[in-house]
Order: sequence, then C-alpha cells, then structure tokens
Amino acid sequence: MRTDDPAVAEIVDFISAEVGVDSSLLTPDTPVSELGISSLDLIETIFKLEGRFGIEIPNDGPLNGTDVTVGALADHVAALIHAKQAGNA
Amino acid sequence: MPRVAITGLGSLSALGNDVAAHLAGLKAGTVGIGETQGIDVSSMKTKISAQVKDFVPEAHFEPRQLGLIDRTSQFAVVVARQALNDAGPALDGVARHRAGVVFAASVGFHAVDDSYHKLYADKAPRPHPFTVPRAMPSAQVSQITMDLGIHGPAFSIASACSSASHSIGTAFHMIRSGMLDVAIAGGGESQLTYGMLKSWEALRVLSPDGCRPFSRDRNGLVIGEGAGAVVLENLDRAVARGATIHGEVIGFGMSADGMDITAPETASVAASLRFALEDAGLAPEAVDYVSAHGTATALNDKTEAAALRLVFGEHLGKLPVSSSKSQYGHTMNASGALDFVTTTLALREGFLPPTMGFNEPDPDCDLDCVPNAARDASPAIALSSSFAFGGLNAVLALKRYEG
Repeated sequence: MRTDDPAVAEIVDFISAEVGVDSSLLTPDTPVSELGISSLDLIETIFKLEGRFGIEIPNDGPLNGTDVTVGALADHVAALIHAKQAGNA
Repeated sequence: MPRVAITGLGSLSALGNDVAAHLAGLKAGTVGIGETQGIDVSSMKTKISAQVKDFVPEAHFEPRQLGLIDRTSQFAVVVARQALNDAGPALDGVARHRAGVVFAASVGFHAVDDSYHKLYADKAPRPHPFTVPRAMPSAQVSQITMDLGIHGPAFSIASACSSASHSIGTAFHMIRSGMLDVAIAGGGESQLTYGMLKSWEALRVLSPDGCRPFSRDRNGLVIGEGAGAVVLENLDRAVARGATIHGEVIGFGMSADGMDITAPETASVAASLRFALEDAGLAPEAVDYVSAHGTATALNDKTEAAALRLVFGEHLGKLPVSSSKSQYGHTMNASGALDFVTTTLALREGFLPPTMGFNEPDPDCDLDCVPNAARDASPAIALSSSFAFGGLNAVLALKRYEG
C-alpha cells in the first residue's frame, strides 16, 4: 500500500468510516475478509467508493478474489483515481 | 383432523400501524384515503391513495438492515413481529421443521423504481448493488425467517391480489394436515411508487375521487399499501399452552377462472366460495358475514354480487357483505391478510365492518353492504374473499372461537 499517496490515505479513511473499523486496524496486509464485514458489506463499500471518487471498479479486476487485502483494495482504487485524473488532464 | 386456531394478529395499513388502530378504524368507519404524499402525482389524474402514515423505518430496523430491505418487506417483518408478539411464546418447544412461514410474493417496487430511475434518468453507471435482494419477491418471507428465527418450511405465494389469502390458506392446510404446529402467514405490499401509480393509471382501473364498493357511482379502485399477518396454530396445542385464541380457520376454497388476465368470471368466483363452504362442512345458510373482495371497479363488484347470489340464493337477503377496501384501499398482495385480520376482529369483537363511500344502490349489486357505518352484530361464521387478476380465487372460512 503506497502510504505516501494522499489518495490512499483518503481511501483508507473512507473505508474505515464505511465499515466501522478504526483506520489503525486497516494495515496493508489485512485481508478484507477479516474486517468482520459480510460480502454484501464489501460490495456496498465498493459501490460507494465508485460514487465517492467517480470511478468504475471492474467486476473482473484484482478485487474479484476471496483473499483481497486492504492494501490491494486501496492501491487499486488509487490507481483508478490517478488514471481518471490523467485522462481528464 | 386437527383444528386450526388463530393465535396472533398483526396489521399495518392506512387505518393505522397496529391491530388496535385497525380495529378502532374499522369500528369508527375511518377512511384512510387521501392525497398521495411523497410522490409527484402532478401528471396523474388519480392523486389519491391509501398510504401507511407515520411509519418510521429507523424505529424498526438497524441502519445496516435498511439498505437491504424494501418498504414492502419492512411492512411484512413489522406485522409478523406484531403477530408473533400477540401470540406469546408460540414457537417455544416447536421442532424447527414444524414451524413455517408462508407469505405473499411481492416485488420490492421501491427498489426497482429507485434503481431504474438512477439508471435511465440520472444515467448512473450502475444501480445500487442491493437492488436484487431488495426487489426479489421472496424477500419478505426470507426477512421474516431471519428476523424471527424460523427454520422450517418457508416460501412465497404469487397469485396477484389473492397472494395473502392463498398464503394463509396454505398455512392452514399445512397445520390441518399435521405437517406444522405453528405457521406465520400473510402478506405485505407497497406499490406506491411513481412507476407503479402511472402503470395502474394506464390500466384505467383507478378511481380519481374515492373507493365506493357496490355503490352505483363507483368508478374504480384506490391503491393502498400495508401488510397483515396471522399466527396459525394447532388448536389443541394452543389451548394446552394457554394461548389467547382469536378465532378458528375452518375452510379454504380455491379456483381458477381460466378465462382472462384481468376480468373476473362469475361461475368460477362462485366455485371458490362453494369450495370454501364444502371444505368447512358448512351449508350456505350458516354464513353470517362475508368480507368481500369489493374493489369498487364496475366489473368486480357486479361479478362478485352475482357469484354471491348464485351461492347463497335467498340467504343473501340476510347476509351482510362489506368491503373494507373502502377504508384502507386495495393493498394488493397484502389485501387478503388485512381482510383476514378484519374478519377475525369482526367475529371476536361482534361487529360488522362497514362499506364506506356508499352513495346509491346498484341493482347489479343487490347486497346488504353495511353502508357507511359499522354495525353491532354477533357473527359466528364468516368468509374472507380474494379474487385476483388472472382469475386466481381464494376464499377462507373463519369461525368465532367458542371453546
């Protein structure tokens, strides 16, 4: 997880608020499945991330597996945000 | 065969948000119909409906639940809780496969309407991810099993406006046959969305100015929303555990017109009434009250009156027949359950619910429809009728409990 990327910090804070888990527990290696949330919670969080950052997270992307970590999620969303910003520039 | 007791009631409608309010409204002749709130009806000729008022979802559900449960299922869960609460510890000591739930299959129209609006009008890239679990017609029965911790037979029944009556009748059969000890049955419905109100209006069956069943000047139905639920129970078991018994279900008749997707058919409607009497072992003369389907469309009421004449003959002159849709609108998939609650209360409390809005007799509906005011009476046997679009008919026979 690129902790020096301000977008990543924003994403982690957003996820923390959405799933009700303190952001200090959201380490890069934490599997999302261990956050005490259901698969539906994750789907809703992804939906809200899309709306919050104006991106589309593809169904067949890196978040499609069962062992997604917080780091992979945050990096993926950050990459989509940067790609969108580059596209708009 | 085991007798089947009614040990719990729940209701939510334009008459109020619990059974006590429902009973008070029935007796007072309250009409819960008014201008539709919360939906832009400016482009509609029909601006009225029978809405549930002062329902606060947050008072009944956690924030996490609310995203996953449509208004229709919210109603269903709330009335199921009411009914079970009313019944007391009905589930205690019941084997898990001998307690069931049978409820109407109702689309979560608010989820559909909201999500499609975002897709089509707002050009959102995708709908809310919970559109499917909120919209699926079996959601209400699933939500009830989750909420009440029921793990036996549970499923939904779809027969349009007979759905809740078929659900209660099926639960009745499951207990009478010895398969279940306890069942919660009923139906919830809220079709009060922009899309569905426009769709009903397009079908040209809505009244612009009120619900007047059996009145010569009737001009259509008024859409309502709500839910009703009952706890049915093996009567011996209910007596043994000291339950309060509101009444008995004693018969269930069904028929299919096999004719038309909207128009009713007299002989088939009559057949469902006869089958209910036959199932209950009743002569027509034994019936003291009929809770009619009584939608206030020209065709329904005329057909229903003719069917009642076929079945009851001379006795119809002494048989009050009323339509509570004049009070809480046509609640579609919930209507059979709300009417069943109404009928149970009429037997238990000793009164006849009125047909409100009645202005002038119609020779095609030559009935004592208990016009415009509830009446004191002591009915012992009653029928509760549902005749759905597509010719799916369901009639329940109820009996006052006398030990």
